[in-house]
Amino acid sequence: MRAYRRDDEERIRLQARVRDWTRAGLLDAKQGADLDASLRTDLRRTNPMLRAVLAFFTAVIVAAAAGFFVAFFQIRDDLAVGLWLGFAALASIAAAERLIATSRFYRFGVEEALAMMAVALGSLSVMLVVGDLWAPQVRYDGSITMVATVAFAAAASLGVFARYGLVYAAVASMAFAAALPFQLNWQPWVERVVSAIVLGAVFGVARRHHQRHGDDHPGNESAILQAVSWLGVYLVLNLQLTLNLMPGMTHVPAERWFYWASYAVVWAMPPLGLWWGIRDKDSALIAVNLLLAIATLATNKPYLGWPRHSWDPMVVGALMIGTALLIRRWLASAPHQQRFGFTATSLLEADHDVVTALGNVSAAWHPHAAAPPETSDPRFGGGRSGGGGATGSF
Amino acid sequence: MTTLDALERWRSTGAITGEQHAVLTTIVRKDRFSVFLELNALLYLGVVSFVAGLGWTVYEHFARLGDAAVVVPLAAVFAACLYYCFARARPYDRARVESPNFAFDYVLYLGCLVFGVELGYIEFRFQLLRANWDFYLLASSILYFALAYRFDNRFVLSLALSTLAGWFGVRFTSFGFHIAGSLRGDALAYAGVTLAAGWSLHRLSLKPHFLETYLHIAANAALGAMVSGVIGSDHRALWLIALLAASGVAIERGINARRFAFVVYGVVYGYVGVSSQMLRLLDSISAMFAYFIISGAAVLVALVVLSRRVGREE
Repeated sequence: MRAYRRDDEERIRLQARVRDWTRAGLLDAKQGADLDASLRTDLRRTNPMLRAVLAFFTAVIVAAAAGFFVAFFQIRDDLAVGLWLGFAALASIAAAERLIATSRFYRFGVEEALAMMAVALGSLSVMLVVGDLWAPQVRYDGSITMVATVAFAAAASLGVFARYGLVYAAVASMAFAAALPFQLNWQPWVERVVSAIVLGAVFGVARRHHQRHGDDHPGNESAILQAVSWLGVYLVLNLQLTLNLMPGMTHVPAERWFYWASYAVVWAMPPLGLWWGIRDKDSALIAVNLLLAIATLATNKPYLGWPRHSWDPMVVGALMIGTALLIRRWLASAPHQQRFGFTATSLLEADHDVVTALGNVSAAWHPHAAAPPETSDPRFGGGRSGGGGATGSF
Repeated sequence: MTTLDALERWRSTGAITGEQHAVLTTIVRKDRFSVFLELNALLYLGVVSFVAGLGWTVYEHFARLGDAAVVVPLAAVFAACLYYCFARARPYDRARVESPNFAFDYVLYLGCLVFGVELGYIEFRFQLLRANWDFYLLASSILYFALAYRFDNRFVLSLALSTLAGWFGVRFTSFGFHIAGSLRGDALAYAGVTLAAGWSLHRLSLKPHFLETYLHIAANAALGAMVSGVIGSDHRALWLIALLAASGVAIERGINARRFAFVVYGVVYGYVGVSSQMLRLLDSISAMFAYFIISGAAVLVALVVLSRRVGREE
């Protein structure tokens, strides 16, 4: 089923670890180079930045090629366009297969963009064909059309994941599968419960798989899927997140029992997930549940209908700072700066790379005043100063 | 083959020592598991959330609290942060200096953000500089630069650079220096100053590891301004020539230094600029699609060749 040999993917995973260990000084340079060479495969990979831009241009070409045919031959009929897009999707996936077989591309950007564009074109094709043949009266917003489209997108993305091991394809599949109940015009609470059950089932499968394989390939993939599906369950069930992020959304359950049940779940999930993450020493699960804990604190007052105060973010911020410092101090005070196998010190250089990158990109969201003061109104009328905190609305 | 199997094999063949095997096995089995990243993320989010709440509280309640109740605590927090940093800092060095402890970088960052809130409040309430209020931005930017270099803090360096960008925007507005009423001139001047400052400090071996931060910001500011000029100004041809030259430099330097982010900047900004002009010349949808197919394929082939020659990750 998989387009790549398992041994090759295991070697690539191992090679990444050897590079991390060499950068951290756990292996010397010669050892690192020798082991790296011994783990080489015939698969062709590229730098992550180039991978991203290669994927972008591949997607542009595929989309333009599909559009060119329709525009040049002036195809107006939905069915004909749908059939052409279906053919284009098949051609796209065939091209991906060909590149992998002949050029041995692996996470090269081109082959993965071809595969994902096949999913996109195929989904559009299903939408047009089903809309034309089975739901001519209700077209694109009709339940049948959308169910078929979303179901196809979920299945096709899953197929891409199974074939090429692209974790983001599995995440897309999961998202489409979770969106499926929302196309069925069920009661809002039923939609959410079914969606959460779908994501929960994915979580269960991914968790079992990860526990069996650990962090070695392919367990590294299921670790991410486990964390993302857990996050998905939370997002589906936290009604206040929906109301705040999508204020125009009408499909919010009105049942009080469901509202309070979701409140209980929203409070239960972060500690439960954190417990699992800590017990299994699972970085992805710990990180996701820390985020969920913050989201739970942020949505608690809206859930209870209590008024928000300007100092709420300060309290949450102080709580986060205090928690981080306490944990750090507690771990650092133990022999070898380690308790129960946990340490707050960095083991790999890659950890520092992430913090450095955070420092660099934080320039993008520092608030700064961009407008001169406009008024002497006693309110804070015009932004004045300061890279931090002060904004134009100040 | 699991990682533990591989480690065992490498030890038996002598590729790694028994001691290395023990250390690596401990990490792979997660007998020693680092939460360094998680704690850093928590601390960073905590500081940002705290300062956001602080700013909001000052905004909401300053009238009731009174000036002293706002200014004094903010000044006290800033002073305490600075005192902590100067008291705990390692001696200054032109090269990279590790933080003395886990919280150190974030204490300085918190202090600088609080200083920004305070400065904004003081100018709003007392209007000391009036029309020249933007010099607060310049002054705070200079302070942030000094602190970033003294304590080797990349968060504060980013804060300094973004505050400086704000000053350029405001100052050039008051000069009426905008090119065609846009912020392009400001952005180009800012990019030039940032590039020159980063390069000069690098040449002087003053925290040379900061150079990349300057370069990323300068490249995006300059290329973004040029693309904006190509798309929306009256002198598109001139802007296009400048954009192509700048993109070429970014690509060439990126390849030479193996910093592929700059290659990506050059390719993407350059492509957007050229495409915006080409699409003006094309009058049919088919021709536009054909343009994207041909131009996209040309760029793709060039990138594949580049990837195979210099961007290999095998």
